[in-house]
Amino acid sequence: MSGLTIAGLQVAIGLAQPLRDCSLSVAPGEVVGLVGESGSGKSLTALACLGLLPAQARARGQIQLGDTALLGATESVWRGVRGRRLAMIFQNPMSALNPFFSIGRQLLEVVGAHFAEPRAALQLRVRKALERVQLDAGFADKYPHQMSGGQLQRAMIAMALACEPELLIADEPTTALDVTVQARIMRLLRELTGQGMGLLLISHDLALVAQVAARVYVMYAGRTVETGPMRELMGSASHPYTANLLKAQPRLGQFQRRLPVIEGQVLPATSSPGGCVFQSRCWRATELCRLQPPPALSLRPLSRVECHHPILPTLLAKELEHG
Amino acid sequence: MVEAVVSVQGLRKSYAGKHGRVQALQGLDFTLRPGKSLAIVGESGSGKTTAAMCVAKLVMPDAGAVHLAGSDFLQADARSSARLRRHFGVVLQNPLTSLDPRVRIWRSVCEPLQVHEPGLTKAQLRERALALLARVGLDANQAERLPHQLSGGQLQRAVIARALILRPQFVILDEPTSALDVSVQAQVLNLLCDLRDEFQLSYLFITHNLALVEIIAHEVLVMYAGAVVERGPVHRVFAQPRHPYTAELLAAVPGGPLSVSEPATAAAESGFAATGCAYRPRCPRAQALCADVQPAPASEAAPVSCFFPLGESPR
Repeated sequence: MSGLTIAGLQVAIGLAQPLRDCSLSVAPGEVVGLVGESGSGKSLTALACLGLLPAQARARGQIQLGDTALLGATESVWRGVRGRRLAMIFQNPMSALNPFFSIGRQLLEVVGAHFAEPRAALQLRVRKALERVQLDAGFADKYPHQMSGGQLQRAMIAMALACEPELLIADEPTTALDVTVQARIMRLLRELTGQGMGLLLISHDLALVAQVAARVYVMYAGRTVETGPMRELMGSASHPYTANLLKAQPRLGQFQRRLPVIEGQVLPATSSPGGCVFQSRCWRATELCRLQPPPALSLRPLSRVECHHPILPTLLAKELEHG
Repeated sequence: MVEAVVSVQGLRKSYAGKHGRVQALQGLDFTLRPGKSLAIVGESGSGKTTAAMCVAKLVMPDAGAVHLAGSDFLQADARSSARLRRHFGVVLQNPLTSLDPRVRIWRSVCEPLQVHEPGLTKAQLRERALALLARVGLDANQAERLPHQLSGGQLQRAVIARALILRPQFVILDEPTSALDVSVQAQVLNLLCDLRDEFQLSYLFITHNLALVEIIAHEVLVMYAGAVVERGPVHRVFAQPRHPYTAELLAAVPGGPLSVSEPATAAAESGFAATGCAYRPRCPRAQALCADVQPAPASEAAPVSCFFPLGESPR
C-alpha cells in the first residue's frame, strides 16, 4: 500500500483526549481535504504524521507511509521521512522562515540535508523548486522581510517541494493571507499536485478545500465523523454536523439575513462520552445517541459516516419510505 | 429628515514610513442614519482599521471631522470628548485581549457605566450588567467568571455587551468574528443582527470577509491603499462591481458564484504604485493614463475611483 494511511489514531495529553479516533488515507497523487473547527484535532493529526507531537503526548493506532510505520519510528527513520518523503507547510510563513538567512540559503540547507550531491546540483534543485512556485531566480537572494506574505508562502511551498516528497501536508496554508493572494496560492497548489505527489489540505474552510480536493474528511471533537467525495459531501452531507457546518458558512450572493447556527459548545477534550461526540448539539439526537457510540456506515460508495441517524440521500430515503 | 447618528468628513491620516510618508487614509466621508450600517472592506494594509481607529479617535487623524450627537468629536477637548465617547461602542477582533484578565466578566461590562453614570450603587451596576449579559446569551454564572474561563464566542458576547451598556446608537465593529470558528461566528452574527434591529443600532463594520457584508450592512466602501475605490449599496456593488479591484476581491472569495474567474497573473502580487492609480500594477485594464494621474477617490456622487470602470467599454 503506497500513500499515507492513518488508522484508529488516538492521542492523549494528560487527562485530555484531543484525538479520539482519526482514520484517513491519501493515495499517491490524490488531493484530500481535512476540515474541522479549532480543537477538532486536525493540526494534531498533521503533527502526528511528522512525529512532532508534544513530548508528553501518548499516541496509539497506526500511521503508515508506503511500507514505513511512522508511529513509534526511530529518529533515524524519521530523518529519512521528514522533509524527504513527507513535507509540511504551516499557516504563518513569516514565522516559519529564518529571518537571518536568504531564501536560497534556507532552501539549499534543506536539499543539502537529503541529497549527497555536488553544490551545483543542489543549486539546480533550488532553482527548479523556485521556478515551480513561479518565483524568479532573483528571490533566492532575498531575505524574508523583503518579501510579501504570498511570496513567503510560495517560498515555503518551494522548500517543501525541493526534495520531491510523496506527500505534502498543508496546514491552513492561506489563513494568514489576503483573499486575493489566497486564491493564487490555491491555484498554485492545484497545479502542483497530480504529478504523483499527494496533498493533504487542512483547513477550517470547507468552501476553500472544495476548490482543490477530490475527497474530504470532516473532523469533530477528535474523530473523523464523515468522509466522502467532495462534490457529494457539499451537495448532501450525511452527518448532521457537516450539514450544519455547510449552512453556517456565510456565502456570497445568498443575501440571507439569518444564518443557521450550531447551538452549544464543542465537547471538551477532557470529557469521555459514552455515546456520540456530537449528540449534545445535534437536533436529530435520541436516547440511543447518548448511550452508544454511533456505527460507521457507508451509505454511498467511497463515503463513510459515524452516525445513528444520518441524513440519507434523497433517493435512498424515498426507497426506505416505500419499503 | 432623520438626524444622522454619525457623520464623517474628509478624514485623513498618514504615518512616517521608511520611504517618506505612508498615506494610510486618503479621505473618508460617510453618514450613518439610525439603523443603517456601513461596511468597509479591503485587504491588509488597505487602511480599513486606520479608518475605524480615526473615527473612534483612538488614533488622531491629520484632518477631517467626526460629528457625533451634533458635536465635533475631533475638535472637542479631553473632557468633552470623554463625554462624547458614550455615544458609541467599540468591538475589536480578539475578545481575549479586549478584556482585563483579572476582572470578572460582569465587572468589565459595567465599567463604562461607572465612568459615565457615577451615581449608581454596586447593586444597580450589577443588575444592569446582568440584564444586558442575559440579552447577549450569558447567564449569571458565566458573568461571575474570569475571561480565561470562557470560550472565544462567549467572550465576544461579553465585549458586545460592554459596547452596548451605555445604550449608544453607533457601534464600531473591527473584524468582530474573524477570531471565531464558523459555527460560533454564525451565532455572533445573528446576535449582532438582532441587536441592530432591537436597538436601532448603526454599525461601522470593518471586515476582510465579503460574505459577511451582505448579512450586516446596507452600504459598502471598498478600500485599496488607503483610498476608497468604490462605494454604494451592498447589492449593487456585489452584483455589478465597477472597480476592477472590487471585481478581483469578489472573484477570490471561495465558493462564491464568481470563483471560476480567478485573477490570471501571479506576478504583481503586492506593492502599491506610488504615482497614478495605486492598483495599476495588478489591474488588467490599466492604460497609460492610469500611470500618470491618480483617479479621484470614490464619493457619493462618483461611486467608483477608476478611469476605465467595468461596465463601460475601454476608450
